[in-house]
Amino acid sequence: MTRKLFGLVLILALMLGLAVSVDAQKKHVTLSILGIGGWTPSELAVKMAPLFSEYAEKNLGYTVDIVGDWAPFTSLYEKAASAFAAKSDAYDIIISDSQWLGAFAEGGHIIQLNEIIESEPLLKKAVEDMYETHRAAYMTYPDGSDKWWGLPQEGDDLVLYVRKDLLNDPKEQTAFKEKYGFDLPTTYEDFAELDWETFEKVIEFFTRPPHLYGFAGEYAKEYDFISDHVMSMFWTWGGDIIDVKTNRVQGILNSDVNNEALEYYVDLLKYQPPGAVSFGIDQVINAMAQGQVFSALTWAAVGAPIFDPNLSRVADDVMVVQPPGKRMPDGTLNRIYCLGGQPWVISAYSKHKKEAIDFLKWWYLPETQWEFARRGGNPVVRSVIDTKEFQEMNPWNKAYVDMIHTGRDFWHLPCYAELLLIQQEEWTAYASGANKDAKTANDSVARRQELVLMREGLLK
Amino acid sequence: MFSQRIKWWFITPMLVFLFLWNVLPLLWVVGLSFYNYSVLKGGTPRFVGFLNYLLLHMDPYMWERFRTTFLFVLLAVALELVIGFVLGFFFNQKIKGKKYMLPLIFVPMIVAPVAAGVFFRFIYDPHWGIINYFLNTLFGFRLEFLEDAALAMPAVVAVDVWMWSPFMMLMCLAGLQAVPKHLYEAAEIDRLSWWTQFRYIVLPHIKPVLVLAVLLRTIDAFKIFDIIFVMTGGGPGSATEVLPMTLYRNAFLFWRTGSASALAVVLLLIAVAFTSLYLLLIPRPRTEG
Amino acid sequence: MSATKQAKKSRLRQIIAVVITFGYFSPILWLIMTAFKKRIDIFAIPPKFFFVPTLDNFRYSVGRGMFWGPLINSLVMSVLAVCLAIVITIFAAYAISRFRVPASKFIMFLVLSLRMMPPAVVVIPMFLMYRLLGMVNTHVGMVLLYTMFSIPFTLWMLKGFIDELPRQFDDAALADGANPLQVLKDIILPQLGPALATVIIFNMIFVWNEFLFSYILTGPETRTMPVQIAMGIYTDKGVDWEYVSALSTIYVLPVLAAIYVLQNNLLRGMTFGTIRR
Repeated sequence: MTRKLFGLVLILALMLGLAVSVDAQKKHVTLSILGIGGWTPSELAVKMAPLFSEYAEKNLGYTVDIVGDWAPFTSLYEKAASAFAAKSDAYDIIISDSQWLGAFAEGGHIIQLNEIIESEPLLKKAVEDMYETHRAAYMTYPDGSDKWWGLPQEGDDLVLYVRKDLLNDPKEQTAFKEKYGFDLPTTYEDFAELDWETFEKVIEFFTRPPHLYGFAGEYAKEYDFISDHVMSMFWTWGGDIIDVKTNRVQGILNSDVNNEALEYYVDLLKYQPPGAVSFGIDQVINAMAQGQVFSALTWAAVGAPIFDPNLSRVADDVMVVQPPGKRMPDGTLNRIYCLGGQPWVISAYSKHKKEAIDFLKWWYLPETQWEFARRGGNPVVRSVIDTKEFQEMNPWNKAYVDMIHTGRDFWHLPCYAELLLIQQEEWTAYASGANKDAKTANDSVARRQELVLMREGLLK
Repeated sequence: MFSQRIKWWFITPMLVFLFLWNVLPLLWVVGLSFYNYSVLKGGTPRFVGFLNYLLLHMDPYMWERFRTTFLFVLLAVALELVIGFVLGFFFNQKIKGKKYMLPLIFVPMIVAPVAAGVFFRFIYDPHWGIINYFLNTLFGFRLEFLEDAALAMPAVVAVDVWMWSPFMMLMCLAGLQAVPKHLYEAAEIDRLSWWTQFRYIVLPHIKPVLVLAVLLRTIDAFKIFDIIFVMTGGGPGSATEVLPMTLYRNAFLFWRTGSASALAVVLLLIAVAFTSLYLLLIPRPRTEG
Repeated sequence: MSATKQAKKSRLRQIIAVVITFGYFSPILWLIMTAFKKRIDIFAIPPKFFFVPTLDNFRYSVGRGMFWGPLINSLVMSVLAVCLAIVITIFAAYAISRFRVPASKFIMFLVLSLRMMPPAVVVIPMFLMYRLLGMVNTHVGMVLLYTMFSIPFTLWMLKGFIDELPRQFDDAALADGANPLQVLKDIILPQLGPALATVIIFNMIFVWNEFLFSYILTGPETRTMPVQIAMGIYTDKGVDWEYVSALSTIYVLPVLAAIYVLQNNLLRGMTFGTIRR
């Protein structure tokens, strides 16, 4: 009797063990992603995650949950960096801004991807299929080396959103011609040839307070909002922000053209709604989507909410073009704007690195990239973005692709956060009226940035 | 004696906990302030002596932060004192339903600064903010409270005053209630002027309490972080960049742990000095010998 | 003659009092009203003062995620930390109040200065320590942190309250041969009842409102309400006022209720028990 009972228990235990081991084979993983709160492409990526779960269950033999956590641009770096500094495994994958690669790579907090990319044909093919600009901006640290730390999640650059309903209104057209003596630009091609001096007349024309203003740009102190725009103006005006060989800033960032460009950009505030001096990405989108402004200079990535009829009053009335250039003395049009966009990086403290890599492989499957594009994202793989199909898919796609070629990213140095804050502080001080003079602002940016670079031993 | 030993059993757990969880880490910070180190970068800390302090001393922007902080403290505490004082006198009179009004006035004191800060961004908004709605309909203009470099500091101070003037009022009321009734009656009989009454009867009684209140508020205003962090992030420019903000950035944005520690030590010493002053000024409870 | 003047004056006084009260409370009122509005009403110009209240924002916030988690974390952490702090501190408060403890002045000073420290100063070493102990983003770590955070206030308040209790009962008990533990349990604690409640509620509010430590030291699983309010502002449609107002309302309501309970001890609590009425 006892022996029988013992046997029964044994059999039961064996069955239980078997069940457990079978269950363990079909393993379950939770991948945690830290993304940018309020940033459409980040949210799109996490919204697409169920597709990866399906894919993993079918092809990789495990089930996976993807949990997104969000921090706004303003605090994402602190959040990511403090998780890294604490060697915490709270996040497996982080959507990092491209400029952070230096700080994260130097501390060994993210894994270097060269070997993985070499050994995975799919990733290798995708990387080879990107523009060099994108590889340099989203993957490489130090600049000019062949060390890769991230893979692009989305590509992005600054584009100009304009109200085509106003531009195509015959009444507006005749009134404009009467006032200024030339035609309103109306097509994508017209805008491709447009310089700031001409464009300023257009936005002046459409500045009709209190219900319509000509323009909206970013001027906020938060994160890098004013910097992206001001640096774009510098480059477009023919200036630069740093000598990449010696890391000298003085004499480069505070050059006469840059002072002129900064002054010009801040002067544009007179064509903008009240409060524009604190506009960040979010407020610019809102001003455009609510029909408050005629044009907005902002990221290609935020096209989706502007064209979403549920969120936008002007969903059918907007056209996306290249931002104006600056007419150089020799008559050519110079147009160099800031690159946006973020890479995926994998935490060195993740317990699920293999699954994280699987996720990136899935991300670069052609189907996934096309799906991302269909939902309004901006992929970087040329076999997708260089097609006619892609460029006609969403209204902002053509401008996005055209702006890649002249796009430029800024420093990936580990002391990036400090350099950035200095110029955010000085430039917003100038824009908000605390500092009366563009030259003074640029002079003190250059001086303070060089001090930081010197302290870090980067100044040559 | 038995209880002589047991009292150590009573105190030790708390002391050990405080030592491990508070004193030791703070000593660590003092130590780190002599090193060049970044938690994010890793590597071994390099001893640099007083270099971090020297750099702090030489940084002209650091002095600007000190000025901004003192400006904030001065504006906030002075306004709170004046408003609290006036309200204290006002509510010391006979008012119907006072029992129900006072708690509502005291609410801002214990509301989370983060929630208040986030919500005041909504109230201050140039477009749909309610303040600007009234300004616009009544006077036909709008103010960019948090966007204008000249207005940002007053706007942040206003939130702090909203939160803490009730505290001053509370302290003032407590002081006024300590004034013995018969003194008033005597003054009434002697037909003393309002000013004389105030100067010789009221002020001596509420002064000790008010001094404490001012000191306590000064310490707290000096610590301000949450409101500024969510409302302006120190901006525009560096108009509201107070020291705790700078410290936070040095430590968790620039990850210059060593030099952040040096600044932390400076603030720590200031806090200790304030505390000593505060303890000196606490009125001795009458029960104690 | 002077009676009507007096009446007029008192009526004016009454009106001013109501206006002041309204002035101080109106931001909170506006917050709570916003939480019960539809999105279009939130952004309406002119602002809507009368509207049909709706629970849409709360439903939406629950659906957006990160709603129950932070709420439960905030609740559980504040309760546990405050209880732990009281258990640790009550013995010390009793000993310091009743017995001759060497350096007791210094202990009280040390404890108070810990509380006067700017949180930005203290969070740096806490981060370094928790990083080494692997306690960043753990519930245990956060509860212990808030225990530390609560101890100074608890000690000062409890010592103050025990100082006020008459000594003759426990002196007599001690003379009768009872040990201090029994005295604390049977004589001090029962007299301390309402005072203890004040200390607990105040402490819970302080922990409940704390932002910076939680911001630096928590991750998604351990995040508390204030951090979620600050971090969850933006979604892809812009500042998410529905979420912010709904979350803030839920966050502020318990504190509103507490003010009525605390009324009589408000002054004492806000001054660390250093001012007694």
